[in-house]
Amino acid sequence: VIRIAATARWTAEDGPLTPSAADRAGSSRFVRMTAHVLSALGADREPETRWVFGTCHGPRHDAIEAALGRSHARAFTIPHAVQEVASRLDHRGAVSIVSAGTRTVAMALVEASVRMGEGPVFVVLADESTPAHTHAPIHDALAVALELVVDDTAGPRISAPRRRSEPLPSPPRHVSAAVAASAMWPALALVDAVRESAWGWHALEADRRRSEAGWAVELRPPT
Amino acid sequence: MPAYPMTARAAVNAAGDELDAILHAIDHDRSALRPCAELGEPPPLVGWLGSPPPLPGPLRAHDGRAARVLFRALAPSTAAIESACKRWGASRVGAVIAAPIADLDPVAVAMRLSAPMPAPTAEALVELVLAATSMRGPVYACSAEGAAGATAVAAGIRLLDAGALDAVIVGGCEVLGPATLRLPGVDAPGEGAALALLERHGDAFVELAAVCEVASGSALARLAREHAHATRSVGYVHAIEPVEADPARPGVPVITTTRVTGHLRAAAGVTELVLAAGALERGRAPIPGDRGDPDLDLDAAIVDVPVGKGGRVALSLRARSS
Repeated sequence: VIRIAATARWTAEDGPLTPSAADRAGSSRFVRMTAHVLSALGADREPETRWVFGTCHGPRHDAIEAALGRSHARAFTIPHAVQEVASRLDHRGAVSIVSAGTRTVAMALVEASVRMGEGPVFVVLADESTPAHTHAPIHDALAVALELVVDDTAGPRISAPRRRSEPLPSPPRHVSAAVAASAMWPALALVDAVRESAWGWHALEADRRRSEAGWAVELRPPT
Repeated sequence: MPAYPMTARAAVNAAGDELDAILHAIDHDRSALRPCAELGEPPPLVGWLGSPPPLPGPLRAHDGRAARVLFRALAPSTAAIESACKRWGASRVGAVIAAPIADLDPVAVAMRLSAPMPAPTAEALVELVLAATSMRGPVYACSAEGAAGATAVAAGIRLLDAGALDAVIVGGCEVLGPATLRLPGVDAPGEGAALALLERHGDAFVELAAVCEVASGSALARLAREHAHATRSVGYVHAIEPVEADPARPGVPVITTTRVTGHLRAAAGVTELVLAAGALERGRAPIPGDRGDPDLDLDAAIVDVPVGKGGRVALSLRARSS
């Protein structure tokens, strides 16, 4: 059982990202929003802590915007984007980058859970807004970060993610319509559930047609 | 970590679509790198796979160049994967696949044709593995700079060590296209895929005995320091680029593959792992030309590859009969 030591969230509805002294020309919003939520957790004060990044589209939005001449973002690959975030926060620890479509949130938490034996882990789950020309459901950008720890300190906890064969006892939590089509919405719902003490099982698969069963995590009250 | 038997393996790249063919190409120092006019002007020197056949009907929904390349390595392994699913249960079998570092060419093609953007490549590879097999454990793609396939191996071992799985496919897939080639990167890149099935127990000639990841410095040195058993009788070191020889045994030959296959990036690391396993099974290191040592004691091998910003991963393989 893993303790959620801290959470941070950002969506476009929260307003523009506050410019930081570390911002550089060419930093994409993907880079800035993930750096923003990591900074909110104090990740810049723990440079050796492991990071697990989960993203479905990564910086694909930036590649398209750059191809359309509307962006000068430099990092068109997810490793390069994460490297830019690490550089901004002076991070020197190990990084895992995980993608699995609508199961990305679940798989990033699986990767984090098996990394917990090595110490605390910062999990970042983020996607840009729907890229132009994709003909995909429109959604806004969002970024979520969790600090996960295995220790005896009191605080909310989550089980390791598991694939449930039976339906969840309650329907998936509501998230803003602006991000409901994002593969990352279960991360936002989980962070909101922690803040609202909504204990119980939470869906981790973004495909709402499949979220009655499938990958889920149990959020438990502080002990 | 306990040693995990490698019960299936496969690789495909420009040097061949079977392990023996690729090892044979390395034996004879026969480079598969060719100028490729389809990828730009002047034609870049690459290990190009031409036009891989489309996915079969039931899998067509996940079609794409990367999925086609990965499927060429996955198809010969499906019987072993299904056997593992029966043995351990489908939910105890999973996969970690290193996805191509760049996803730019599907974007460029869709924009040129004003067509809907295909699913991200990493997502397509995950869906392909789930659709082509009955495994239902964790399946995800990972990304990294350098030889990302080695990070997939390390992630798969973590899942086994943590008890989250009893069998895991570790693999990698790399593809090339005009947009991807414009990114700054390595010279003479190649396309290909490779995968290995590692199980908690099973009949296999070769087992993965140790994994070392370092953020900087030499993973080989750390492997030698922390896993002396793994380096006690190393036959050779398999790398994608020249490295310092095994510090635990000076004089051990170092074999590199990039000059033959091209730099396989996301498929690298896993490719070297399965080639080293094939070399152990045939009892002869793939040493080109007359540099081979007929008396080489080949019952173990180390794969050493660069990953990320200065990091390295070293993987120790040994023959189980030794």
